[in-house]
Amino acid sequence: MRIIEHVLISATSLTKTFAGRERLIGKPEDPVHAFDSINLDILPGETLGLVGESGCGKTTLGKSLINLLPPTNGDVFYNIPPDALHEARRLRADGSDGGRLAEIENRYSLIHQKSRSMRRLRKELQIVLQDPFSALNPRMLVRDILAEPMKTHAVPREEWLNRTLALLNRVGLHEDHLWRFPHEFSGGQRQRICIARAIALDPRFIVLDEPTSALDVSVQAQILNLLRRLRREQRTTFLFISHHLRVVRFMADRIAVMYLGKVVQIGKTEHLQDSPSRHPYTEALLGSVPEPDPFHREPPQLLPGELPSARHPPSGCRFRTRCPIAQAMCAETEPPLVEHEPGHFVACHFR
Amino acid sequence: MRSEDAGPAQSVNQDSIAARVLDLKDLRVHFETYKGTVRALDGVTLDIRTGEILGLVGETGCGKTVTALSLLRLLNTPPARILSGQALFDGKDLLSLPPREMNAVRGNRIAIVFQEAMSSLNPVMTVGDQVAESILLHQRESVCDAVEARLVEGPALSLWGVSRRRIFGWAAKRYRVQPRSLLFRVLERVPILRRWDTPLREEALRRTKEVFEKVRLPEPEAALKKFPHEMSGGMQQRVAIGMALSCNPDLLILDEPTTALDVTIEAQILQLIKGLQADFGMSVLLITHDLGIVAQTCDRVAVMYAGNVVEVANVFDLFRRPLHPYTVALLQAIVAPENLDDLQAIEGSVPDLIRPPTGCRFHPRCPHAMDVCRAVKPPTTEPFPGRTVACYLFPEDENH
Repeated sequence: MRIIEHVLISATSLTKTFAGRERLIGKPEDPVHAFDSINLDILPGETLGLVGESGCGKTTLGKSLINLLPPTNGDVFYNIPPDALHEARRLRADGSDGGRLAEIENRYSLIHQKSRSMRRLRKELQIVLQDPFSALNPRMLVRDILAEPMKTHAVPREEWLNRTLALLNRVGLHEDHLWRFPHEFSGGQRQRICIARAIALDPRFIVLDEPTSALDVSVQAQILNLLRRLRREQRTTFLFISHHLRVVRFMADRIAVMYLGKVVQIGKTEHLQDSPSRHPYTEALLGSVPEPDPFHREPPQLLPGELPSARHPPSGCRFRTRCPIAQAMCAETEPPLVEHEPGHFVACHFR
Repeated sequence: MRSEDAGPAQSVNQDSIAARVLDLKDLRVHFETYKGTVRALDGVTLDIRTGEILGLVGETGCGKTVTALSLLRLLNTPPARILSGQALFDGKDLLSLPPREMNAVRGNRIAIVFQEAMSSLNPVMTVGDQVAESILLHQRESVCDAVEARLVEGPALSLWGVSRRRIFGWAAKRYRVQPRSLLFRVLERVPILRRWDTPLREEALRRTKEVFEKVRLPEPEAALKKFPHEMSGGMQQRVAIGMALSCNPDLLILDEPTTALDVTIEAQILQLIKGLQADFGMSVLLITHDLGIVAQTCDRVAVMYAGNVVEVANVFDLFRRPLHPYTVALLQAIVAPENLDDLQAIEGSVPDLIRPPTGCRFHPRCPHAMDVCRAVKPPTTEPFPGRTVACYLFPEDENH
């Protein structure tokens, strides 16, 4: 196995809870548990896919990983050596809040950064949002949109024009697009602008939040090709969030499957399909994607019911209400993520 | 009622439409906008056969939904303008039918389910009342008959004079014949008399419950009293499908029924649609942009590009050997996870339909474009039996 110098992004028992609304009379609403004690390591240069149904917390997790949404509990470490990470996790688990943990946190944790140093780190952590129609300021020219990150991070003014031109070139747009407003572009072109803005400062980590779900099939192919080319050329690390399993399998080296705020399976992309030890939810996801091949018509694997409310997640295993193999113990104890093969984790009592 | 009122529509050779539910010919629709005239549909020709699921695929803005809406005459004119075209349904041209007769077809014999169930349901009515309303409107006669038959059996006189059952039964009988008569218009306006139709509503709600059972809504009895916002997207879509099916239509149009839903729910809904189609034997026009759904669900496929139907084929033929260059490109752009190379994307983007390309509208993106493609729009040919394509690469086969 390759020796890892640094773990680029590491979530350690990361939890996010949104408080419920206050009511005029009586108790406030119950809080929404967006995600709960997530442990996730992203290595430099890899693409981690994050799949799950809408409302399972994948976008919130993506935003929390780059500290756009402060988590309720837990920590996100950035560029941390593995031994320091293990030490930090051990110290957290022991509950000892000694000076050593605080030292690691101050040095590596995004959550504990002061706002000034966080701002410096921001240029290495970028995000491309789902909807290219609302992610661009309609009153700014493309030139200004692309120059804004350079302005914020003190790139000398003389370089702006050259760098924006290079950016446009890299995402397949032309020089005359500089002087246009976002509304003059099609969805695919806008998504290219969003990507250009995200790569403007050569970030090390980009969260791609459903970058193609607002686009058509033919344009989706163009954008996916562009992202793969950028990854080849820059060795940028991606977190690729999508509900579209085929797209994630095409893009990602490793895939994490989320269900109702929990990672239920994580492992290499090729293991997702082939491994005998799969989470029943992963199986259902794979079985319900319609294959574009009329010669293999199989009745989809149907999951009964719908996603439960994140306000009142089921006890024990959160998937048990829809799981075909659920038993009594699933309601009582929550299954931990267990390593079945090297690097392949599944959270199920029976797999 | 259905076959009698042939109305002013022209008579058609019965043989040619024997196996077809709907025959759409050369439909041209323009939209007048401030920017100019959008040439949305440029001669769409399509036929839907009895008992089949026809898939209509294409990218955003290619005219799939406009085709469906103009069939049902649901487009606002203006801005829309139907320049030419014929939609033969049951020997009648839907596009020239008088409004009253169109109302008898719309919702009753051709029903539609829209993409977003949330916005197609009324937020201030319970879903039960909504579906019951459409049943009462379209199936007035059979509902009235059922109510009358049930009530007339009661005693003719009660302690207080004429029995209430008799009065309600008589009202149902009258309503069946003349729903817009002065009597009912008056009853509608007098608050305490407005309840004359209670038995009709009860009957319609009973049928609604049956419909909800057919679309497998959990707890159909409780669902009747729910408002749309109390249901999830999948449940709302089931209600919308139920409403469309409540009148046993001959043709059901599904406009991207699962696009707003998650994969696991999408699988449930598609399974439901296939099951219902097999049970009811109706024809289905399934509009989608997902080729996976097409492959798994449809019998035949029509591919649309920029307001034209470029290819129609059996689903197996289409996936085995696509003919039109656009279909070929579309199939190649599907993400195959096993594929380690880059995808073969279609270069360029969908044309602006205010100034569409001359000739074949696909020629600026087509790898095989010839001079003739730029000049003249290719005619639709039938190179193989049962397959039509609009491309110069496939001239008409002389042998058949």
